[in-house]
Amino acid sequence: MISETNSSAWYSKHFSKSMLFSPLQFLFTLSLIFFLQFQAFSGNSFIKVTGVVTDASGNPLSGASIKVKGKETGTSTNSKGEFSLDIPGNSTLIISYVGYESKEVELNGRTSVSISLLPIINNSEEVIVVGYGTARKKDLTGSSLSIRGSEIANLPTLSATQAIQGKAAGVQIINSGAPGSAPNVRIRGTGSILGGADPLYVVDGIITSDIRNINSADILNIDILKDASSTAIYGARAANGVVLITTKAGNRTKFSINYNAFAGVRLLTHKVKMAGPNLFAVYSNEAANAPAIITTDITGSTDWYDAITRPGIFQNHNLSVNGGKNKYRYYVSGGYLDEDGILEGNNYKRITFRLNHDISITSRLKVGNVLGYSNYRSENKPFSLFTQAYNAAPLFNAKNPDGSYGNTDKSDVGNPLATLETTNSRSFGHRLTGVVWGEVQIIKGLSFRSSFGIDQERNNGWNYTPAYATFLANGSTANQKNEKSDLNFSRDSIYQWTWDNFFTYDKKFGLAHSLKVTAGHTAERRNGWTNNADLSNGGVANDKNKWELKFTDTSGGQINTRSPIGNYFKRESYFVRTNYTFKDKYLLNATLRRDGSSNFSPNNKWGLFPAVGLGWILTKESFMEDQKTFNFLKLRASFGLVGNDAISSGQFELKPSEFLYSYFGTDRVNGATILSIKDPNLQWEVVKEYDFGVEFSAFNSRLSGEVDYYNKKATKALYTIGFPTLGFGNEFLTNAADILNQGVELSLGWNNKINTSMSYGLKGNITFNKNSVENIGIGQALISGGLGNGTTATKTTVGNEIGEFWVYRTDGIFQTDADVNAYPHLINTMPGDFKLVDVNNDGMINENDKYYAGSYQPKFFYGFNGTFNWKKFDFGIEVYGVGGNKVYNAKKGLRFGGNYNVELDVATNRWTPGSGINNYPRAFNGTATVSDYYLESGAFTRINNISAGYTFTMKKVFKSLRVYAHTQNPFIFTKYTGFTPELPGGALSSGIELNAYPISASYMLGVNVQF
Amino acid sequence: MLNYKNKTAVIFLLFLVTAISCKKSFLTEEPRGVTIQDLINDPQNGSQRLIGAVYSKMYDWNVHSFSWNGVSSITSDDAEKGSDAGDPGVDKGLLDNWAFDATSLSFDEIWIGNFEGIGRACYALKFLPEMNIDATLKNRYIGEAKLLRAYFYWNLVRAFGDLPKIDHVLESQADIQAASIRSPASEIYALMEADLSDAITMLPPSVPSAEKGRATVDAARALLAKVSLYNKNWSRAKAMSDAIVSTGRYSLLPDYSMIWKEAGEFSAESIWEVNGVGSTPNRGIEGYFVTQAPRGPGGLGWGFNIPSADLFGAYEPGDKRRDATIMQRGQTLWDGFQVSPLAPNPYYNYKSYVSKTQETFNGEDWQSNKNLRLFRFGEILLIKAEAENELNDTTAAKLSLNALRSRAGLPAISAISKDIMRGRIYKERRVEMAFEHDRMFDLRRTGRSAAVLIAHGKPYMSPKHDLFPIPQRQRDLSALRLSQNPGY
Repeated sequence: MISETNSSAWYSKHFSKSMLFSPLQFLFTLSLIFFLQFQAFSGNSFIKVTGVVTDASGNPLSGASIKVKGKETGTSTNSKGEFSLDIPGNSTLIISYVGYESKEVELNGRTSVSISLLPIINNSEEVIVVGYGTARKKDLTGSSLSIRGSEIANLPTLSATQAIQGKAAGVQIINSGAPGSAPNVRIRGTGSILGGADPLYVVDGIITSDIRNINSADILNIDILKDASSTAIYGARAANGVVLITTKAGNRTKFSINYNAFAGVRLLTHKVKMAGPNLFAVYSNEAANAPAIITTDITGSTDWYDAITRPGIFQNHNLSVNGGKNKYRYYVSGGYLDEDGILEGNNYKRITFRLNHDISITSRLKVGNVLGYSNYRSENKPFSLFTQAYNAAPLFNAKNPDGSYGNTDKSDVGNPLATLETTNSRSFGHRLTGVVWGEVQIIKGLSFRSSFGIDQERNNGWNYTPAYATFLANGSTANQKNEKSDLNFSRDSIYQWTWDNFFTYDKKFGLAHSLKVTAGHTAERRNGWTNNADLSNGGVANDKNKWELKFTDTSGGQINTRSPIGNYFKRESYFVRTNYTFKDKYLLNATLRRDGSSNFSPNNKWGLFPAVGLGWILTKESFMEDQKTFNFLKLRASFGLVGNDAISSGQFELKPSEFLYSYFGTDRVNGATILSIKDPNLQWEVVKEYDFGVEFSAFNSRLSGEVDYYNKKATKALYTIGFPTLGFGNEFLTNAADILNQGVELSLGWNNKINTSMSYGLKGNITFNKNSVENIGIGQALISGGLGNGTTATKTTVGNEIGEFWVYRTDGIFQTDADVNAYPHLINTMPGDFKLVDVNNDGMINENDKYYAGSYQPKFFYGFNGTFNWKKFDFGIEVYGVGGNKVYNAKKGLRFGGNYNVELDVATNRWTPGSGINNYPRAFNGTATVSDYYLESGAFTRINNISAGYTFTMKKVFKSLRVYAHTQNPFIFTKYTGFTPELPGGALSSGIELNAYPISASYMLGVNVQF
Repeated sequence: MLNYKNKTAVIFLLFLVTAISCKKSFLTEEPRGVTIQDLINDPQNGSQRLIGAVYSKMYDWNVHSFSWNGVSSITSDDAEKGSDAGDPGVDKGLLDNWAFDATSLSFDEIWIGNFEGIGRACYALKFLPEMNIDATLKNRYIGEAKLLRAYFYWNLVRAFGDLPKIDHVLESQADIQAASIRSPASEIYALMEADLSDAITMLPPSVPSAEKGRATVDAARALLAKVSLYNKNWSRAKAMSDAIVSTGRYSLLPDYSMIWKEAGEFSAESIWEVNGVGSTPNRGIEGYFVTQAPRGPGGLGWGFNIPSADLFGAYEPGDKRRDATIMQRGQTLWDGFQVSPLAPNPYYNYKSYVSKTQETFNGEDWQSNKNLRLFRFGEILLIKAEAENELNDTTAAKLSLNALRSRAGLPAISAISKDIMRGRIYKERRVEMAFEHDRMFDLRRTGRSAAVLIAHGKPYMSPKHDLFPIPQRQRDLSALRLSQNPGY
């Protein structure tokens, strides 16, 4: 028999979805909903008190205990969560239910109450979305975790992944903080060199790679699946972990209107101090060994950061309505986000709408839909401006007295303000995602569900640069200018559908055996095109309303291209999962998925991904009955194979490359030919993962925790095998490498209620990860991490981490010519240059003397959250940090474009002849040799969030009103001297600071009102 | 009769059956974009695109630009690295000072660029024969592909000597590894000569103005003439240059400086050019102009590959070619642009200059309007003169040489001995052909490289430096199957 608890939890997770409507149906349903809702609010007084107890989603809780405070009287709820009780009018009810926080409710004369209970965090009754269904966490043999939407709804972040930073063991979020940007998410290390390393996102059953369209306020739960036993249900796409997002559903028993808003300001906090005009001139002249900059060249003085940055104002509003009745429920919401970047003119706006709805047509048939729409507009400014401001000469004013842009002929960097103001770039677009589903109970315990989802995206963008010039102080035109206005317009159209069909069989056999089997099929297709139009021969109107670019028109020098999106595919899969429990203490989870993908060669289209996990709940054993320490203790182990198929489409096809232009007369020929060879047997990466874990709660469930060891080996990882260039490419992509990530995750939580008005909770997690490339087949080390001007900083090869820094070792500064001559050195080395260590003692300094100096991947990362409630006050703090990694401060060593400005510290402390300075080089022009001098610790500890709130209750006006103050990133503790040690990037070259978005802190006030 | 509930169940089961009975072809995606079959099915257009891709390589950065200047010019006594002292231009300073080794990037780039051209030519030669187009046109395209393959090999063989011999398409990594073996330079020359002989029979005598940039028979003759010079096949060098002269199509432009201006493109002196177009959409030799354009305040470019003082002094007094080849710091150029008096270098290359005001320029200086003059009549006269002199016809040689001197505003030379004449031809070749990617190879060809460069203060070591090193990266990628030149 399926237990009511199980089934209600199952529904709550799974059917928080509603169905696609026509507008008319939608209006009809809405009016019906409101009619019924208001009817429910009316009613007459009786001595009998009735009520209903539900979970947060409005699913009835059957068997919940209702007691009258101070009395023996009590009852429990029926299968619909309802109860009735004859009691004195002013009693207080105590409602409790296993796995949920107990609640006291004062009747105050009310005779009808609806009570919703919140689940106890870290409790073993916690329900996890596991893909094509849900399961109780205690029944699972894999490593997974769940984060409630309420934990992230009030954070000023665009996407939910940014907000979960520090909250989940094993999940590293690398976030630039730039408006509109998506963070890097690494679950259990970087598992791929050339395939994607980001996890799979599943939003209400729809697989996607971008969740920036999801409003955090609409999220009910984020569930993260980490080990193979948990993720194998997603087979070939599961290797980097799976993030499942469930949006909110309506509430069958409680109508509510929620309004949440916050507004604040974001400030640049990590400004690097630069040299002023005089020091710049001295340094540059010393570097050039000539009086290149004289007093009259200093025509002004500008702090370029001040010129291009500002406090960024942001605001966020969310309004939602949810409710329902026995047979249906709905959730409708609208959200608005408006965020100014700290760069002048940089802004991101997003509007989101959501309509989730489900209805029980008969006792056996349910249908519903989830529908989300988002629309964004981003005014872009290049983040390279931060570097331009870093490099720009401070010698002149941003604007001349006549209002024109200033410049100097003493530096090529130009005027960052001119770059900022003449960059007119906008991205805008919208995205519609929806699922319509139906579920039927065929016989008791066996149900069938079919859901069809769509995801349609349109992204547009334009870049317009007007003709402009910058001027020297003497009025002549400087180098930085655009002689002819130009315009580029692009449009992506992306279409995707997903069709899932699966059976679920959930049954208890006798008292000992419990079985849940899910089996089904899914098919998917994604397709799309990118259109581009370019006009660069001048004559583009300044007024964007006058632009008449068409994607078909080629008059007036316009160039149009149309190309497929990089990631188009068809996929088809079969899956089956069995969760078997014996006597509630021995657990077996087995999963098998067979995946087919058009992205792989005909020889390797299909793959099989099995996983198995075992669990043992010790606290159910008789020998544990006597101990009082542990309330729950589970050991688990799992092993499985999962795949990573994140590869762009058509990689195995031998196809001509186009746009190899040449001119015959005035006729431009679009040359096309084959440029490289392909691997006709290309297939997915296969990850073999072991996981051993312990879950426990102790001391009356006040302490809970989880420890995991994982060993995750990516085999057949994509790698480029190089070969000599003889006219047929120089490498081909194949399945050649092995990458190992192994580590330990630890999370602990402590909840305590000191008295009725005071409680606190502490949660912490830490993850240790070791990444190493184990094998690259017949391939060569991959050199990457370009710094410009042909120099590189990383090398990936066997025995090292992916993207490990590969640099010269420095040993102080050569003080004299005699010092230089006494030791091997590179050509043109002078006193004041770094002494590069001849590591191999061959009397020469060359590439063979470089060494592996660590990577951007942290050895460990951690998070700590504290909450404290006292009466109606609440306080929260969140801390996040990483350790054991390196950052290459590349911008500090680059002056190759001419006279770049230098940091105040670098200029002040520079080596000069006879100074004896041994830790700062001489003034130089050019590109610094790649060395460990520029490699700094990437470790940091940051206070991510501090919040303080107060909750008012004024039943006549609103159910609750919380006002709060919040600050994000107020403090960071780091030794890193650049803008930010947090640098999202590709696996091969991450952690190089060249064009970074600096750390900013935000301060805001917010309000949550429930009516 | 099914009741309502059971009907629903059946409907859902039907859904499932439909879903799982998806056809096997569901997972087969039609390739996006152009396929080889598309090119073959549309032969008129497809054949042009295949040959266009080979020509396109001539515009690429790694064939004719920064690295090529480094290898063919900066190494020589005509040129220096230039630019700011602190900017090494990757390895250009090392090339200038003959301090490079096999890891220097410029060698790798020109290796890659020219072999890519060879690969594209092989693909054109693979597919063109089976394409259904007019036989004359097909012949012409095949002739062009052969000429281009020979041209790319020509750039490589002069730099590296023995090379992998690629005369057909390689389709797998194993094939490529197997082909990564150097064949003797003589075999490479044999392949080039065979290709060029074929091209001479297949290419047209001239191209209409709508097809400027495509090769004529004289382009193939010119290359074969120059190859013959390197092989000391004097009679063929003479035969080829005579054949070009006898067409009567070509003459020297009266004004030497006009050759490198837009107004001098495809002139009476021109035999083959890379056709850069600076109007929108522009296509030019990537970075050719901007890497060499004058640097400094108000400058136009990076200022690499600058004329040396030695070259400046090599011109006879009154030689008009000096000021057409070398621009000087502070000088006002023909179009009114002034090179900054504060420019870091005393001289810049005038032949690579593009006027932003007087010539076609759409604002993009990366791919400029500049045509690279691959072969011009002036060089044909030099080849002819040298061949005639070596064949003991000093009188005929003198005529050709005097034609060039006369245009340069210099007096004619009178009758001299064969050996003295040879020296005059070499000297004339230096000043006539400066900054035309000829000097370094010419010094080696004539056995003068060690003497000249050592006198120029460079640590030139013969025989090591008589060839450049095989790029170490290519050797590593071949698992050292590619051998290294002696001394590196």
